[in-house]
Amino acid sequence: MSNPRENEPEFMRLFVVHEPVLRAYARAMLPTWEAVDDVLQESSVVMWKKLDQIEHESGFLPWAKVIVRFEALRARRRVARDRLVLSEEAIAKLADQELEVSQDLLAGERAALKRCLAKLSDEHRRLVMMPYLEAGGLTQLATRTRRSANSLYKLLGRLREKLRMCVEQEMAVTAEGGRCS
Amino acid sequence: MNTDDSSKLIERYFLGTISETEMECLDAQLQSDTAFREAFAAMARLDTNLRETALQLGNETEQPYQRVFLAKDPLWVGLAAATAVVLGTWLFLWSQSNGLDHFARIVEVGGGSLRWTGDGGEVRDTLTKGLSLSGGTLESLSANSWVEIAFGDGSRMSLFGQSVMTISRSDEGKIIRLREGSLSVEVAPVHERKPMRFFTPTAEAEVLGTQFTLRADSSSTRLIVYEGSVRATRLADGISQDVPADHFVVAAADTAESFLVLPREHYVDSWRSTLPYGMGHGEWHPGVDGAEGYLEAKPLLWKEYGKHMVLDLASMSAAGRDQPTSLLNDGAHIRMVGRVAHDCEVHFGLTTHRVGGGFAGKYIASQRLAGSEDHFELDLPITSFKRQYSCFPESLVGHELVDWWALTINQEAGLEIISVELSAP
Repeated sequence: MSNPRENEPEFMRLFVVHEPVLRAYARAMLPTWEAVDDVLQESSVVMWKKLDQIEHESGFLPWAKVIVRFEALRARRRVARDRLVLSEEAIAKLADQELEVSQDLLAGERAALKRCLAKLSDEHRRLVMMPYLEAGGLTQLATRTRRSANSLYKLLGRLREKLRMCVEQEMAVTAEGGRCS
Repeated sequence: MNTDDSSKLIERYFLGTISETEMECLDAQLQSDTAFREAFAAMARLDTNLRETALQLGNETEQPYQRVFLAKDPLWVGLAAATAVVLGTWLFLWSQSNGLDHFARIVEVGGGSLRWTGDGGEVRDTLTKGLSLSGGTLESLSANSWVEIAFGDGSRMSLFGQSVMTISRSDEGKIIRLREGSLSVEVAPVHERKPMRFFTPTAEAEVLGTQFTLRADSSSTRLIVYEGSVRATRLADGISQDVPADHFVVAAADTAESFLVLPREHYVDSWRSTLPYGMGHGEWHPGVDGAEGYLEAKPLLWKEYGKHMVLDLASMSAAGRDQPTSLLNDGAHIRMVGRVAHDCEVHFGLTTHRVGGGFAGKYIASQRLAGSEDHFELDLPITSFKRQYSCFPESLVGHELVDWWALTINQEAGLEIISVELSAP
C-alpha cells in the first residue's frame, strides 16, 4: 500500500477541483451546513488514505461521491433520533439521482446566480446572504427590526424561490445559445 | 400537493424551519416523485452556490491580494466590498445591542487560511472584517495569513504566520493563550485596571497599557516590549522578571537557559538563513556528499475569497531568539538561492514589524522562473516587494524583517530553497 503522504499533492489538487460538487452533493443529503462541513472533512480524510484505489483522474468524482454518500449515511445514523433528518431511502434516491451532476453544471448555475442576485435590491441581497454569514442572524434581525421571524423567513423563502427560477431561466437561455452557436 | 406547496416545503427544509409533520411529507415525496427530487436537488445546488457566494462577499472587503492572484469582475467586487463592510459593521453593532457576550471583533483580515472555533463549537474557516467574537480559538494557518482583532477597550492584537491563539474573558479580565506562533499586541490603558493576561506553553505575562510582541513555540517564548512594561513569568520555575520598554526576555522550558532581561539588540542590516534552524513550513533535506541541504516547499490547502488553492510553500523565520533583529534599509537586497523543477511563477514574501513595535505588513515579489536541475539565484531589491494589502504601509523600508517565504499557487513546481540572505545597501 502506498504512503498517503506521497498522494498528498495529487489528492489535494483533485479535491480542490471537485470540492464544490461534492459539497452540493452532501447538501442534498444532509440537513445543515455544519453536518455538510463535517462530512466533507471526514470524507476527505478517507479519500486521501484510499486515493490509490483510483486508476485515472476521471474516476475521482464518482468515487468521491460514493465516499461522501457513505459518510453522509453514517452521519445521519448518528442523529437518527432527530425527526428532521431524511430517511435512508430518501437519501439513497437523491444520491443516485445526483451522481451525474458535474462541476460544469454547478459552475454554470453559480454564474447564473450572480446575474440573478444583481437583479435584487441591496436590502434583499443582504437578507439572502445573511444565513450564511452569521448563525442565528435572521432571528436576531427580526428582534432588532421588531418584525416577526416568521415574516422574515417567508420573505427569504420567496426570494430564494425567485432566485431558483431565475437561475433555471438563465441556464435555459445559455443552453439555447449553445445550441445556436 | 401543488407546485407552490412543494416549493415551500423544500424551502423550509433548507432554511431549517420545517416541522416534523412537514418533514414526513417531504421524505415521502422524495421517495416517490422524481420531479420533486429534481426540484429538491436544484435547491441544494442553489443553497451551495449561495453559501459560496456569500462567503466570497464576506471576504472580498480587501482586494490587493486578489489583484495579485485572481482576476475578477470589478463591478461585482465593488458590490461585494460595500456589502461586506456594511454587513460586517452592522452585525457587530447588532450583536452588541442584543447583549451577546461578544467582546472582540475582527478589524482586518489577510489571506484565507484562518479559522475561528467558538467555545460553543461553531467553526468558521472564512473570517470577515467586522465579525464579532466571544470566547474561542483563532488560528492563522499559513505563513502568509494574518488577522487583527480589536477589543472594546481599544486594545488590538495581530496574529500572523502559523499561529494559534485562544481568547476568553472572566471577571478577572481577558485571558489570551498563544499556543504557538506570533502575536503582536497593543494593550490600551484601561479604566477598570483589570490586567490582560497572556499565557504561552512556557511563560505568563500580565500587562496594562503596553505594546509588545510574543513569539512562542512549545520550548520557548520570546517577549519583546516596545512601550510600558510587562511582568513575565517563566512557567518552568515560576521566576518572574519585569521587562521594561525596549527590552526583551526569552523564557525557555529548560531552566538551564538564561532568563535575563536584555536591551533590545542593536539592529543589523544583514541576515542569512541558517537552515534548518528557523524553518517554518516545508521539509528539510540535509545535504549529503558535499551537496547543500535544502528546504522543500510542501503543499498547503488554502482558501481565499471562497476559493480553494493549493500552495506549495516554504517558509522560515528571520527573527530567531538568538539572532539580532535585521532592519530593511533602503537599497538592501534579498538574495535567494534555490531550484524549481518546472517553469512556474514563484511568489516571494516578507513579513515585517514596525521599529516602534508591532506587526507592520506582508510584502510580495513575484518572479517567473524556468525549471532546471541547476540552481536559480535571484537578487531582488527590497523595494521590489509590494504590499499584500492596501492597509499595510506602502514601503517596507525601515521595517524589521520577521519572516520570509516562497510559494507557488496550484502548481507543483518542485520548489526548493537552499539559502536566503538580506544584504546591506
